[in-house]
This record gives sequence, structure tokens and C-alpha cells, in this order.
Amino acid sequence: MNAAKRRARRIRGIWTAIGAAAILLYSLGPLLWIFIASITPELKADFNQAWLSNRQVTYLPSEPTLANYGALFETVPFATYFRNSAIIATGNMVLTLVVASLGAYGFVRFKFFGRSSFLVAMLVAYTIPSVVLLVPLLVIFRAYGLNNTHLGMILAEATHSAPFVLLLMINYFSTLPRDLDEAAQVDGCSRLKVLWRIILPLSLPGLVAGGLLAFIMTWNNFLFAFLLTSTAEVKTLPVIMRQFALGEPAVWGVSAAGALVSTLPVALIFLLFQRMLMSGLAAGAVKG
Amino acid sequence: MAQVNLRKVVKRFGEVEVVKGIDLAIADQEFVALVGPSGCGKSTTLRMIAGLEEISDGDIMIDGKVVTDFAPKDRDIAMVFQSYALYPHMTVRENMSFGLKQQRMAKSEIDTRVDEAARILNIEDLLTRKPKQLSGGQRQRVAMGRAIVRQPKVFLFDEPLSNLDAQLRVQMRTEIKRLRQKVRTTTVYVTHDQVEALTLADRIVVMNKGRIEQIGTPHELYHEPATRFVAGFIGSPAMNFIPAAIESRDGRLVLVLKNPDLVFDIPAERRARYAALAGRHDLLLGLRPEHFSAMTSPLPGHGEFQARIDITEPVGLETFVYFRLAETEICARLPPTAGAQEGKPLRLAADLNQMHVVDPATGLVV
Ligand SMILES: Nc1ncnc2c1ncn2[C@@H]1O[C@H](COP(=O)(O)OP(=O)(O)OP(=O)(O)O)[C@@H](O)[C@H]1O
Ligand SMILES: [Mg+2]
Repeated sequence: MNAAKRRARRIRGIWTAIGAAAILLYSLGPLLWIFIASITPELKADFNQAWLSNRQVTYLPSEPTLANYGALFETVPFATYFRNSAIIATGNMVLTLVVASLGAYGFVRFKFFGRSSFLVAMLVAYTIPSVVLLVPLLVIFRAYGLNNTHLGMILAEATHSAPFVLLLMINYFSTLPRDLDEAAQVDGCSRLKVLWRIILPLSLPGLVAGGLLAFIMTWNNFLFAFLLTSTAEVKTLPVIMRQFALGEPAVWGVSAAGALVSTLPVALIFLLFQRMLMSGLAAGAVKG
Repeated sequence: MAQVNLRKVVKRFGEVEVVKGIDLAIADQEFVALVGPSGCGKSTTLRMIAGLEEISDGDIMIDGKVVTDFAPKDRDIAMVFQSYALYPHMTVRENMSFGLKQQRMAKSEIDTRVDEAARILNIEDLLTRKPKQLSGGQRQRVAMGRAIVRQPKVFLFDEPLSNLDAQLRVQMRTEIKRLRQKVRTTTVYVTHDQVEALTLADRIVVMNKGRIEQIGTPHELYHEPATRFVAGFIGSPAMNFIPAAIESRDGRLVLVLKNPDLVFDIPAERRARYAALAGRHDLLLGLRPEHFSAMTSPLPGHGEFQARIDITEPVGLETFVYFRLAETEICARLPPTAGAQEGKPLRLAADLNQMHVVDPATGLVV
């Protein structure tokens, strides 16, 4: 390779880096801004005009503080909301994975009457906006006493995430050769055991991807949480974040701190599982 | 170990009948090969025995028990797949112990069996590897090991060697034969390679279009094929079929070929068999390539003729020689010393003691 070519390549590399940096700045900028807000001390907030916080915009606070984080857990039942979010998101993740794995295995490995119509139904179920489901869900939940319960929230969230993850798992399972199922059956497994011992272990990246998507969908979902919960015992983080913005303690510092703390688990999970997540999402596309 | 019995077994996929009522009785410890052209229903038959494919009609018995409605796991069979189907997420040892674990066998007993099988198959060094880290031949051995450790009633093989290269295939064939001397489990072995079938099997089942053409020992199928299909399918290169007539002339029974016009006496011990065909002009004379020889001196029961050699294919120990007889291309298998040369004439003799006559109306060998 000659010098000119090498230089051209280096220049191209520099441009790529600049582009990437710009995108990174664009997406991380708001986060940085929230972080700054969260360590900026509250000036005397005027509690009579709750949401007209009277602080000034400073790019770097002269006296950075962690007081907002303290306030988050002292003045608001933030921990309870956090717990609720964790319970509901985890519950939904588990329920979604169980339903999606069983369902996808059925779709991929069995022929049954109405198979393709059911598949279409799943797709449609996923595309129905959550808002449309709200009223029916409210009515059903009232009948069964599921309003304002963790279980109710989990069930409601699953209406959205289960069809999506089911489609993802169908994609994933159909890349696995049928011979493996048959070998395991001959080796003494029932169909369920084949799923458990062979298919699921081999689908780990897919399961991780599907599970995380289900978790994050729920973690971020505001609509159901807002309308299907009424007490702090069940309310989730998105609901409290709205309260921060509109409501009684309209304190931007605390609000920003809350935003960061609620982002943390999701960011951590992403970092932890990023490789599996990527391969899990790509598997269907590449192999199948 | 057990017998396997198929009674009027039928398999339909939708409207299409792919296995058309098969009767088959496999004895305890017997090694049976299913052969036939692609799509004739070999795999489907095997998979029905395994329980992987539902049976549309008929019954299957293993060890005297009707298993028609049993799931594969309840049939006590082991199967070796063409793709090997090793579990990718398990080590070789885990692959081999998987079936035994399903039976909740004691760990120590599992280890003993796996070690024993690994020793027999020469894969002791591979036990901690994953399938991905194995060569094709090694995978093949592991797949067999997984079947052996189970000590099942029946082994089922579906073209287990067809993914190996030619050299390895021959080697594994010998290995299977050797294994057979130690483990005499009843076996059904599907292959499209007739050499595998001829070398391994106690009996061969020749299938064609979903039916059984003939069941017999390798020797029987080779020397006494029942149908034209079997005659043409078993043996390589394939049997030659030459249009011929049988006539009665001056009290002798003769075989008449056209172009060049040839009249051969039918050997004495064959006369009774073919007497009823006298006067038929639409027959086929079946002669294997090895039943031609270069003439040295006249032999009893041989038909002599002059052939003009078109092509010779020397393959070392022997030479395949092609020429035309009665408007048909004929292959003969001669020693390299026979002096066959392309474009040159050669005196040949057909061993009529080994001849077959096919009645095209029925497709049966007379
Ligand atoms: N699941 C299926 N649905 C419909 N038809 C099938 C199915 N499986 C097999 N067939 C058909 O049944 C026939 C027999 O198939 P089978 O696999 O038993 O053939 P085979 O003898 O094993 O051939 P090969 O030597 O190519 O493996 C074929 O015509 C095939 O197309
Ligand atoms: Mg087959």
C-alpha cells in the first residue's frame, strides 16, 4: 500500500470519528444537562408558585451538591416507586418470556389448525396502540379487582410486550435445526423438556434481547402506569417523573436527580448485556 | 435388543401416499439396510419406527409391543442422524450422557457407560470438547457414541456416513462393522449407498416409490434379484439389460439377439425355467458387467461374440469396457490384460449361467 492511500484512509478515519463524536454529543447532551441540573443546588424555590422554579440557568454550578439526591429519597417515596417499577418490569419480563417461548415453540415446531391466522393475530395485537386497550383493560380489571395492583400492571404490560417478543423468538427458534429437537426426543425428552433443555439454552442471546426489551418497554411505559394505578403502593417511576414536572414539589434539581436514578438500571443492563443483546437481535436477520 | 415388525404401514402427507403399505419383520440382533433411490420413502419409514413421524395406517411393533401411539421417548430407540444433530451447547461427554440423564441413571453408571463407549469409538480425548471443535469424522463418532451408551432396543441410522468424504466414509464403514461385532443391537440402517448396504447388512430391503421391491440377504439380492428394479439397482456398475428373444429351434432353447444377429444356446439348467417364454420377442436379457470375459477358449454355457470397443475406463485392478450390442450400450468388466482397445474389435463371451431374463410386461425377473 502506498503512502497516498494510507493517508486517504487516515483522513477517512478522522471524518468517521468526527461524525461519531457529533452523534454521541447529540444523544448524550441532554443527559449531561440533566446531570448538571441534578447537582445544582435549589435556590429558595418559591413553594407558592410551585412550578415556576426561580433558579437561573448555570452551565456549571459554582457549588455542586448531592442534596437533590438526598431529597429524592427523603421527601418523596421514590424508593417505593422504584420498587414498583422493578417488580412490574421484572414481572412483565418473566411473563413475557414464558408466554413468548412457549408460543414461539408452538408456532415454529407444530402444525395446527389456524396457525397462520394466529400469527397474523399476534402481529396485529402488537400493532394495536396501547391507548385502544385502555378502556377494555380498565373494565376487565375492575371486574377482577386487578386495578391498582402489581399483577394487573404486569398483565397489562404483557399485552404489548408478549406479542413482540413472541415474534422475535419465532425468528430465533426457526434458525435452530429441527434435528436437534428430534435427537432430544429420541433421547427421552418430552416436547416441553426439549424446549427447556435444548431450545432455550441455545436461544440465550434471543431470550436476553427479548427479556430486556420487555423490561425496558415496561420500565419506560407511562400510559398504563398512569391510568391503571392510583396509589403510591403501585405507581411507577414514569408517573412520579410526571408529578415532578407538573406537581407539588416542582423542583428541577430533584426531578433531574430522579430522572438519572431511573435511567441507571436500564443503562447498566444495557452495558452488561450489550454483546448478547446485539447478537440476539441480529440472529434472525443474519442466519434466517 | 428386540425384534421390529411393520404391518401394512402407510404414510400419507396430505393426499400424497409416500409409504404404501410396508410389511417388514426384523429379527432380534439383525442389521437391516433400507436402500432405494432418493425420495422412495426410506427416511420416512425410519422416522415412523422412531416415532418422529405419525403413521397414517398400519402398526409398528418393537419387542412384541405395539408402539404405534408411543412418543419417541417411550420407544427405547436410539437414532443417528445424517446431520449428527449433536447438541451444540454441550460437551461431548454431556452429549453422550444426555439420554441417560433423562432416564435418571446414577452418575457413576453414566460415567462408566460414556467412558466405555468413548474407548470403543476412540474419542476419549474429545470428551471435554464442544461439537464445534470437532471434525466431521469425530462428530460422526460422537453421534454413534450417543446412541451406543443408551443401550437401546433398536438403533436407527439415517444415512450416517453421507456427510463424510469418500475416504473417511470407507473407514467409518469398517468401524461400524467392527462395532457390530461388539454391540449386536437390532439395527435399521438407511442408505442410498448400496456398497454400505451390501457390506454391513444381514438383510437388505430395497424400496422403490414407497413400496418394498425385495427383501433378502446381500447375496440373494445380487444373484437372484426378483425384479428389474432390484437387478438394476444392486451392483455397480449396473446390470446391462439387452433386448432379446427366446425361441425354440430344432428342439433347443435359444436366446436371439439382433444387430449383430446372435443366437446363443441357453444353458441346460436354465432351460426349464425359460421354456415357457419360448416365442417371446420382447424380453430383456440381464447380464452383469462382471459376467463378460475376454475369450481365450470356448467355455460351456457362454455366448461368444465380436464387440467393437467404444470406450475403455481403466480403474487399476480392472477395466470397464463399453460397446454396443443389440442397440444397447453395454458395460463389461475385464481384467486390464484382456487387451481391450478403443475402436478395436474384441472377442468376448457372456456367461449365460449367470443370465437373468426380465419380462418387461411385469417387470419381474423370471
Ligand atoms: N414433511 C413432509 N411433507 C410432505 N412430503 C414429505 C415430507 N417428508 C417427506 N416427504 C416426501 O415423502 C417422500 C419420501 O421422502 P423420504 O425423505 O422418506 O425419502 P428418502 O427415501 O429418505 O430420500 P433421500 O434418499 O433423498 O433421503 C418424498 O417424495 C418427500 O418429498
Ligand atoms: Mg432420506
